[in-house]
Amino acid sequence: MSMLKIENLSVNVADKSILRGLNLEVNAGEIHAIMGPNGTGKSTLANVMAGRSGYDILEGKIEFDGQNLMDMSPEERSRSGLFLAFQYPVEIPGVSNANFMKTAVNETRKARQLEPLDAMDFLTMMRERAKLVEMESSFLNRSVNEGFSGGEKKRNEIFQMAMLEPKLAVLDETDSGLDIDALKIVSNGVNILRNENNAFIVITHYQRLLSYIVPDFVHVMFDGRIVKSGGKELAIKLEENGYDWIKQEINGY
Amino acid sequence: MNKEFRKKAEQVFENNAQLSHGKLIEEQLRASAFQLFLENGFPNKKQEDWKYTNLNFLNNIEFEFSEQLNDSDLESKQINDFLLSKNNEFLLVFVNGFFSKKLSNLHLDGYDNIIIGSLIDAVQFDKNYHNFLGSSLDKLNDGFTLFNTSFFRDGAFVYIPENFILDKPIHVLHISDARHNTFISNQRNLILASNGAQVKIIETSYQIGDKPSFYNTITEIFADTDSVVDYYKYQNEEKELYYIGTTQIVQFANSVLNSSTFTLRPHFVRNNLNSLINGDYCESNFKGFYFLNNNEFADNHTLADHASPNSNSNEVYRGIINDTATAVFNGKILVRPDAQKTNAYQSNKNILLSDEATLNTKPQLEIFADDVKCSHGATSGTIDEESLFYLRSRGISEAIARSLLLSAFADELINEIKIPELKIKIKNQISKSLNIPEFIV
Repeated sequence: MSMLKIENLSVNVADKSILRGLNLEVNAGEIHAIMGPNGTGKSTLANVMAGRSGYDILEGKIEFDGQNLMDMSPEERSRSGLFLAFQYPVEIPGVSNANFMKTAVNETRKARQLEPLDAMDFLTMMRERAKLVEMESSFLNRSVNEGFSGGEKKRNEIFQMAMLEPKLAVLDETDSGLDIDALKIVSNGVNILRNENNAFIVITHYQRLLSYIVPDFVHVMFDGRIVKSGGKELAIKLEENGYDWIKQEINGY
Repeated sequence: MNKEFRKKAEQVFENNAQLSHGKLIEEQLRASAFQLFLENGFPNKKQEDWKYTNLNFLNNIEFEFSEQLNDSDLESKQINDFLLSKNNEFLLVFVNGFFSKKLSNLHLDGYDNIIIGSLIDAVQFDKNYHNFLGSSLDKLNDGFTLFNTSFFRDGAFVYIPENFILDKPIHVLHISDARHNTFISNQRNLILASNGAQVKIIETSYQIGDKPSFYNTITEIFADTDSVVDYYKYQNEEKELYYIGTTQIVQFANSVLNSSTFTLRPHFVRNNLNSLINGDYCESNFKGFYFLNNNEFADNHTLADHASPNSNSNEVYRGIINDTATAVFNGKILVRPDAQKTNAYQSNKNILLSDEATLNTKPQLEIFADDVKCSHGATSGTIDEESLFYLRSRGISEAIARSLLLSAFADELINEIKIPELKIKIKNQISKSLNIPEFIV
């Protein structure tokens, strides 16, 4: 059974058709990259999966681990092992990273009928995972993303992912706005966390990220659908030739 | 004011003329206040300052005057929950406006030159103190101030000598005993911080018993040159207590006044907080937080009165308003012609959790000097949906995500509290009201 199965997904935003019959299947242990020009629906796909409101699902279904994702609240989706690394992480003044993660981890544990982690274990875990993305432990006491640089925000997303240990992580343009050093740190974090039981969907514009996080599959999205799929070499071809040749292929000229 | 109440008031006023009360303030002052009160009565909605304050309780409830101390059937353990700390505060307890020595806890050994006690004792000790009483209030002639001047019988008195830094806070605790009667209590507190003195004052008010009660209190604070006065109000009354409290501060040069007002679960609260900045290089900080549920009402009227140059006032009030509760905020900044180089800042932010919650917020800037910096801002909104989704996307339930965001909104003010016991008490109360699970705190 595949971990994620999206079938014929069509979504409108404010009466505008964004996704038009999208299909995607992801199995444990795989990394999928989704590429495509601006405005083709990549972020919409990520947000619909995470359960953000404001999207009209017209038809299709998303099955995650055999469950119908559409029936679940955003928190239930997260607790069942789905993670979205936000393109634009929100700043939350007054809520510390530590408190945020303590709540998130313990709420997730509660949903899985596990005891909450005690304070010491939790602190050890946080420090360890923060190291993964080279964040100093002082950042744990800072308010969530408040005053963080673009790179710090993205590293914080990966840190949260490391804390929650999802089965499937969707990285929505995690590389945008990152300098090369931050890009390496973020990619390194992902590579350490990947294993045969989890999977990643990496949404990106650029091939650059994919030389650090090497995908098993590359999909090209255009006009609300996946129009071409291939291996990692597809990403290189897109980087060299742009998207026009794909548009021509689809339109048949 | 109905005829019956008027008759009652006249009778009590006459009775009081025979009592020690006359020694607290000049009889003439008391009489003229009462005369004016009889002419004008209590304020009403036609007056700008009382436009959003529903004072119908004055007509609907038949109040009696509390005329003497009655603490004979009260024991310390009944007020244990109201204390901040057993040994780490000077505790002054008043019952319906009268000093209860029995319930107070002063242990002043080793504090030789300071005075903490009742106004009556202080004035007996040194008659000069009564010259201060009312001297800050000459411009306040609203009905509640006049009523207080006419009828108060006692209150807290604090004198901190020059350059003395008092380590423990002074807790002025008022208990409205509403077990058997429907009382009006009047109280007058007087705080004198001498040159270079530092003191922390906390005022709280609670009700025991289930009848309605009305507590009308005034605190006069004189912050002399270079003094630092931290002034806290913690209002968590729950029962049917109608609270009207005025704090009038007079600041002299280089003094710092930090006022913090926390209003949680009030029934009816009106706070008037006025600081007269009467010297150069003063700092006046007004902080406030209110969290209102059900049909609760909290009204904060503040005035930063800049009468001298080179001073700063900084005001931050925040509120969460739920259900059918009502909040009023009116922040006035007055910069008098001589008060050049004034910096005055004001902000009032609100989160409304229900469509039926009401907020009336109004900045009022009156600036008569030309070289000043003043700014103000007021906002009202709901919980930020983006933040909510972000938290939920990490597995946090909607209810807890909301609570976390609301508690963060309050924390900015709560974290500034310098008295650890008070901070914990307020934090716990807010966590409880927000249903925040223990593992988070």
